[in-house]
Amino acid sequence: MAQPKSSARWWFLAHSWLALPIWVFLFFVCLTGSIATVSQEIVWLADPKVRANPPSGDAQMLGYDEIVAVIAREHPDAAIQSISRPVKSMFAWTVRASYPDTRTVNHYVNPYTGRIQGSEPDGFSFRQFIRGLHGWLLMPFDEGFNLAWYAVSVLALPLLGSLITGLVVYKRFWRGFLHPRLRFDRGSRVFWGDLHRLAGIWSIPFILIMAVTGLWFLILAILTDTHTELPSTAPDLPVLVARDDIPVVAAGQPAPRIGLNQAAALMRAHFPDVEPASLSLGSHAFSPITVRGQGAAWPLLSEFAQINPYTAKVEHVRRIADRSGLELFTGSMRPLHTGDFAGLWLKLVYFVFGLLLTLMVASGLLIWTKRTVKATAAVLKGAKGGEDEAIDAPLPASLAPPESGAAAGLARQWKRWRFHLSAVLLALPLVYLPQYLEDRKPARLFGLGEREVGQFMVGTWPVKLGEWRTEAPKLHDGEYEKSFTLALCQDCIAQVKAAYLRIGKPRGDVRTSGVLFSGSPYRMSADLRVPENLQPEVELWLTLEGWDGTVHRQAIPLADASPATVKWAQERSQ
Amino acid sequence: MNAIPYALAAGLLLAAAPALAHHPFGECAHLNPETVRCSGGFDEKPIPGLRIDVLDGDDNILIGGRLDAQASFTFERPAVPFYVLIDAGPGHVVEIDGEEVK
Repeated sequence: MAQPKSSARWWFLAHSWLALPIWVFLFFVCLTGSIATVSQEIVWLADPKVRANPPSGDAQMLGYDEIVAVIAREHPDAAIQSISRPVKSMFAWTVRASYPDTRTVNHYVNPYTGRIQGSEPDGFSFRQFIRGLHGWLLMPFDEGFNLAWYAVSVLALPLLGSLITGLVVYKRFWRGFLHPRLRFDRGSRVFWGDLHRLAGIWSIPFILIMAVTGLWFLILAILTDTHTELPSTAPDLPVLVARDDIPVVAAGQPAPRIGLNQAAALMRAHFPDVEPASLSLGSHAFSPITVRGQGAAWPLLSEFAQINPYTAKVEHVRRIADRSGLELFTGSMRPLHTGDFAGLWLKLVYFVFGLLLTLMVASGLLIWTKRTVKATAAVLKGAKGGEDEAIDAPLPASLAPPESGAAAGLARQWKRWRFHLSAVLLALPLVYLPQYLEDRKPARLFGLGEREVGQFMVGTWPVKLGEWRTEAPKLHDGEYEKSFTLALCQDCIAQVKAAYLRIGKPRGDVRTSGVLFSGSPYRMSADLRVPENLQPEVELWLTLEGWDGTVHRQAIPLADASPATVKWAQERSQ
Repeated sequence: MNAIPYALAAGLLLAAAPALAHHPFGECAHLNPETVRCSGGFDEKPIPGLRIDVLDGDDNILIGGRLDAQASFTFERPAVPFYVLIDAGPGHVVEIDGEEVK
């Protein structure tokens, strides 16, 4: 690099100052990120029930239907939502299923023996915890992305800056690959400096990946919070099963559906090289079965087929080739950040380089405390002479410790601690931890929400309606919405095809019944759009449609369903 | 239920699909006293081919069709009270009362 000396020195200072004022925070994010990348493997090590140990060398994996049948046999009241498996074959199948008490349970089923090795209700999970700690400091999300998300993702900028300035100041850095230098015998400053440079050059691709993908998380938050949608090649309409495709059957039974093996085979007809790794049964009667697997041509993204469970028609396929270049790029950002697309070896590579990066933040600080103060002062003073001389020059008066006195003591404290102040940000996870844990308690996760409205007979079917949060409708993308939940009675589940909710009485055509409830029959949910000029005395109308074609309706005064919404409507009408 | 924390919890952000509201929309207006034109779509985007039905007060379908290439549909105003359904799939239906057609 043939820059003038002064230019080189400014680059050097820029490099030094980029991470310094935030080094504690950056250190924390790098460290938790490194752990997060192998969190699934840590769970695998710690918890035998998530492992997929084959009974013998040539054991055959069970089919998808057999996995489902295991749960159906041993847990007859379970409503199965999906079965899935991580990229790595060392994990058991996870079967997600819901129960009458509204719990959602993950069952870990051995793919070879079909044995349910363990079961875990939704709640606190180490993986989610470490991810929340790394990505948003456990701060709860309310509307859009939270400040902690922004604080973490904006670190991509100093990271990128450190990489660029680091490569500029490290003259002929490529020589470090051929002649690695790590001197143990020249004092700690030299050792940490060597380590910083050596780790730095070997981490160039990793740091670049983390900086660019981290920047994407920042951009994603900005796009989302400004309601900006990037051009998309996804279908314009939700992929749903047509009403006419569902056969009308005799009362008391659902329409016959295809099995998951058939769905997987249909998927593989489109994607011969893709191993189905996630099969979702759909969230209501009009949902297709979605069979998804890691893309063969581009392993960072998945390919999937959505299959009509009644006609076996493939309603929609999403190939890697269907995506635009922009979608491939943005969609690859997250897997590239987490390293979760090639198997265990890549996770370990990410973990090691993550720790190296963490170490670089720490070593950078150590180097700084030993010389950057002097170098800065030297540049500011316009000191003549070589860089090393400047670095080794004595501290100027402005940066030297004050003599004595209380004010001087404070100033000294400030000077000593100012660059550790970002540690204050680490108080955030501690502040939010109690709420984080509270939100994951069964009482918060299960049930019909904050308020059970009551039981209603809709035709011959008893159902329970719940108000998810006892609050006024929330503005969401320019529309007010209010969430309600619904639980079908155990015997109704086989009889009821769909449930709908609307404000005001529907007409005779079942299509006018309003928004569709989706989710497990033990707790379905619907986001009801609420007009801005809502009349407080309106009624909500609940419609249940049977598999036999029967339709039953029930009016529920809004005052019963949601007093908070009535109050909101009254306040708005004044 | 606010979709964002659930998407995060489920690790669905990889889909890079911001949790925006997904709703059908539609509107109808008189071209002249005898003719009505309706248009519709989804997520603020006009969608040609959506099913559209004109029904009478007893829910009989008087006129049925699909939105044309301009995502609109023109029909003769029925002599009886009517309403229009623009159907983007189960749970995604826009209802427009004939009385409200300006």
